[in-house]
Amino acid sequence: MTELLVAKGLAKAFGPTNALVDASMSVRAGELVAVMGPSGSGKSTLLHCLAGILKPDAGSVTYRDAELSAMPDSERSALRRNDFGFVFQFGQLVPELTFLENVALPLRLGGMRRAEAERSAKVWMDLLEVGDIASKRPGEASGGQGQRVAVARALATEPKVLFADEPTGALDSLNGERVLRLLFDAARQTGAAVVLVTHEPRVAAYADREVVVRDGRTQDVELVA
Amino acid sequence: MTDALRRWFGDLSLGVRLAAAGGRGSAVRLAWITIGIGLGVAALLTAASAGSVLDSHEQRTRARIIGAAPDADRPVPGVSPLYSSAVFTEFAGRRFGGEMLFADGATPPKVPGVEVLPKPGEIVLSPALRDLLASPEGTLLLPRFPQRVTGILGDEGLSGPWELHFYVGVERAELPGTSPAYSVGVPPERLYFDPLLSSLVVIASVVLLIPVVVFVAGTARLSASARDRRLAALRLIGADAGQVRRIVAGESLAGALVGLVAGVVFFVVGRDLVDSVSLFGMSIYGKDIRPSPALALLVFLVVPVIAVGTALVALRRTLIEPLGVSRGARRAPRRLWWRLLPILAGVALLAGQHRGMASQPQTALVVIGVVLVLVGLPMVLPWLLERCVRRSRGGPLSWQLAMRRMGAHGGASWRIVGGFAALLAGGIAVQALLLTSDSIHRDESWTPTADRDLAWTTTADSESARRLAERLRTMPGVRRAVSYDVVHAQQPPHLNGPVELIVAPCPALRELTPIQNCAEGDVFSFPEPNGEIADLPPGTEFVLSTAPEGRLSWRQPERVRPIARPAFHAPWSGAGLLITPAAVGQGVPQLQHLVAVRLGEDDPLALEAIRNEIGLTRPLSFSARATPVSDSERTYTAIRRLVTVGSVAALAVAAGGLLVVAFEHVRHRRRQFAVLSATGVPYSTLAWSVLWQNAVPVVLGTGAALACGLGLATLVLNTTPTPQRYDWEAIGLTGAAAVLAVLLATVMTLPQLRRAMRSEGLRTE
Amino acid sequence: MSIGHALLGLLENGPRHGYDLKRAYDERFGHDRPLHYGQVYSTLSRLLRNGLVQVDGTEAGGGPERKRYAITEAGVTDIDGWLGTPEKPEPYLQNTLYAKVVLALMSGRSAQGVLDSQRAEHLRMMRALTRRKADGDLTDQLVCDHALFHLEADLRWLELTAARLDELRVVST
Ligand SMILES: Nc1ncnc2c1ncn2[C@@H]1O[C@H](COP(=O)(O)OP(=O)(O)OP(=O)(O)O)[C@@H](O)[C@H]1O
Ligand SMILES: [Mg+2]
Repeated sequence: MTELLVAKGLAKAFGPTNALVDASMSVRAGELVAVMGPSGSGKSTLLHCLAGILKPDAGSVTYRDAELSAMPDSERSALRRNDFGFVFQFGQLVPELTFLENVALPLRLGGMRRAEAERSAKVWMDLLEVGDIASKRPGEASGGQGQRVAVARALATEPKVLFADEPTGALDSLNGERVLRLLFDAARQTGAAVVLVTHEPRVAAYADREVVVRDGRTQDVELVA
Repeated sequence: MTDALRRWFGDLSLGVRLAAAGGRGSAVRLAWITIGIGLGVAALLTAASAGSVLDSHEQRTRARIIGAAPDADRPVPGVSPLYSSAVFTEFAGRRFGGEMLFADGATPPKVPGVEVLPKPGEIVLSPALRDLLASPEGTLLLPRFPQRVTGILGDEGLSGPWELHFYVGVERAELPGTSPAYSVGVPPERLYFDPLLSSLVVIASVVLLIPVVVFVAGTARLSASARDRRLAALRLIGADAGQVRRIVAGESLAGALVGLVAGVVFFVVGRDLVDSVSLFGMSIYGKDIRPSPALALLVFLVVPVIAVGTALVALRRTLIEPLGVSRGARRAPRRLWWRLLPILAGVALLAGQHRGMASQPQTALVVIGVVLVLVGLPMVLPWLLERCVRRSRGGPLSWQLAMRRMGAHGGASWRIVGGFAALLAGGIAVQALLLTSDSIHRDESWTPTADRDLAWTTTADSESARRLAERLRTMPGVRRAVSYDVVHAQQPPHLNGPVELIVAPCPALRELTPIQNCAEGDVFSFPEPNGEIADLPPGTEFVLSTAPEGRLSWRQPERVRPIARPAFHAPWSGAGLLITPAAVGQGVPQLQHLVAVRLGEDDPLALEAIRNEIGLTRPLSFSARATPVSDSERTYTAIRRLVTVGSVAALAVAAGGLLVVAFEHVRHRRRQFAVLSATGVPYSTLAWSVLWQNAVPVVLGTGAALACGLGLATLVLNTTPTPQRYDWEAIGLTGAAAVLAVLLATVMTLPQLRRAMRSEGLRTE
Repeated sequence: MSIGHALLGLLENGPRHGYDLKRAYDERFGHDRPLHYGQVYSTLSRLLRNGLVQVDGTEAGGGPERKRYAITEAGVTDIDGWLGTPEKPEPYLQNTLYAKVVLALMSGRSAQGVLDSQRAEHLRMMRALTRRKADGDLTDQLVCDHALFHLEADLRWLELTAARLDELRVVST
């Protein structure tokens, strides 16, 4: 399998806090990687560096042999728009827009016409079993429904890599697992790789591989065993 | 190419959609933005109309002046002559006037606003005067208007809807010495502005515009943190910098355009209201408020540019950090030095124009200096506030909540308060300028402090003067009344001060001043107020008339006895002679018949009764009261009123802005308030915290504005050689208004706070 | 729970009398179930037989309680192997894992390594179960979920222990 996304020796500090000290990991096409570790260990920071949202202080992130930090902002944005997808714990939907408009948003940013974008958004919403609340707004639905919509939005552009940061953190285990199953199945279908930050071993158990972050350092546990 | 264009429009329309979308919350936000920008636009349009207001005011007052045009007395075929004389009267502290008219023929020239000229015993009134006479407080005035009302003045003959004005018909005999007029109106002229006045106008308009601009910028950025989050979410899913900018541009453009429309509506509606309400004695026709087309165009261009521009500038941080979704990074503390630059530059400019250093103060530089200081104030204020907020430790929980919240999201309210402070500072400076120029326009040295109770009036002949004096003597509020005549005479050339010739029989002379022995044929001489005796050798000749029929003169007789100055005479006049009628002889052509009145204690009712007794066409003059006369004075009054109205309007706009911010704040923090109240924080604590949050910036801002305004006034007035005066009353009033605005904003947000605290606040993304 | 490995681990810090060994064991691992002398001596004699310990000296008076035992090279190797091999993930492992961690700490070995390899083992098991769950019917799913929740609890315990290793090091050495 080809290495899609490779991070080597990442370091990132926020003022006096060293969020990442020496983190390396790779993501292969179509695989599902779980990132685990204690709170504050730097998981989210690692994810943001991988996705090109944060610029690491040291180290490199390459996507398909292109160095992310060397790209101009517009190119990185285009990458986020076309090749990456994001699902976070909350706060990622635009509260002013309906669910349908939210899902169609990345497509429209990519230049798709409104009607077309909303048609294909509807397909994804149906797939995630939230087609019936398409015209509601984020304030008007449950957390689980909102999360499914977020997944639909992340998948709508058929990304190559899907980044998820504690996507089920606020949901009960049954609902959490439902959302995850839908996410993983859809990712399998489109061949997207998934990088999943989670605290829950049961969630991590869905992954093919696990990366543990401790105090800003990664350990590829597979190698230790 | 077309594809790129389409995507451009796509982004812009997405922005518009974002501005409009989103249920009640964003509808409320959009409404506030609309109101905010709308108020700003309306204020700007009003300011752009100042010229037209002054102009039409001036034009109409000039158009009704009778017989003053250079060729007005040249007969015009088919037009019969019109005789007129201006009259003034005073009622309840208001001075107003009209014309006595006598039309000699059937085709007199047209007087603007008058349908049919009043015949003797008739009168035409302005609507405001008619209403005043019909109202209860007008009953006192009624006896002065016994004439039959035959018409109501039309708009074209009045300076404004609230002007008291009249045309009263009289007999030809009541208009002695007037010449016939064949035309009415004086050709329009440019308004006269003296230098201080014109710099005043410029500074005043800048002062009024700054808060409006700041306000537009502030409202355009309402709920910036919510928007930052939204945009960060967009960035996260791959909107690039250009796209986000276009989306933001679309979003704020939508607000600005809706605001423009609302502003025009406000303006038009407000203009119609102007006719029916009278603020501060302002009397303006709504139809006179016409923005100059160029300025209006400028407003329409500048407002969207400001709105979009500030939104884009505010975007910098979000663009760098698309992570705003997950966490708000801490801002770097504000830096002081570059914020201080405009103020320092302004102060340097003004100090350089100090009258000791520059030979001639340059108005342009002074104005630039003032603008720099006023622009600098809102820039320094956030720094000051931030310092204070950071310093604050301890205090009750509500205080702490307010401080921390301000530390985290102070932005919007600080910006509004900045505008507020600039307005206050400018207002204080303008007030000081107004007061200072006030003393230029009213010659204070001319107003003596004594003899406030001495008044006089004129009558047609000696006999009626004598009778009037008799009647007045019996009235309450009158201590003494004397009638006498004054002779108009050419002064002998060798005198440097005027010498007045007063003619009255002995009993009347005794009323004027103590005289032991008085017989017909006697002549007495009194000195100037400072005691100097005029150099009048016997035989000095006073020329009484140079009429072609024959020169008439009067020679001073041999025997002239010195006496004390008459206590009844106008204090500013010079030395004079008291002459018994026998000493004058017959045939003195030009006698002025006077009745002097010494009033009792200050009694407005008695005063009005006296005026009524004297009648409409004869004014009661006071020696100790100045009345506005000069052209410049009239403009000045109009400007001063406009400035007052303008600063009140701008203050209202600023208060509205504060309210908007407070509302938006509660709306936006709904969730936090709900959470806090759910954890048991009592309502009163939260309410207090909202009050603190509104009050602290305003109090700090007002303090800074006071210091800045007084400093500014001192600096500006230093550029002119006039003693400085500060309008402490107005300053106190504006301060009180600021406090009131805070309280109002807080009180009005409380219901919303209550609603937020009911758990519904917990249920939002 | 292997008493033999525990005694070996305790001996690694230095030779001890049998009586001492029992006391040391009870202190650290035997809170609810102290060892009987019989268990100690039978285990020690098994270790002697396998050459993992040797008698270091005998004090006057004879009797088993007077012997001093010491660990051999072979014993150290055995301990290494034991600590390095993750336990088969199954419920109620905490006694063994705890002993392993404490002994690793006492002997200066990497306790983190012990925990890491164990959690990898647990996750491997969980992944297998998750896969089975995905393919199986409802009964299968419920059974798997039961096991998964138990394993998850253990894993959480492992994580918690890993986070508190420094405290544990102070207590156990
Ligand atoms: N923007 C920031 N400013 C300051 N410190 C930050 C910032 N982002 C992260 N940190 C710090 O970096 C460290 C790692 O943060 P990160 O969010 O990556 O942890 P995490 O592993 O995702 O934790 P959690 O499981 O609780 O989400 C933390 O100590 C955090 O406080
Ligand atoms: Mg995190």
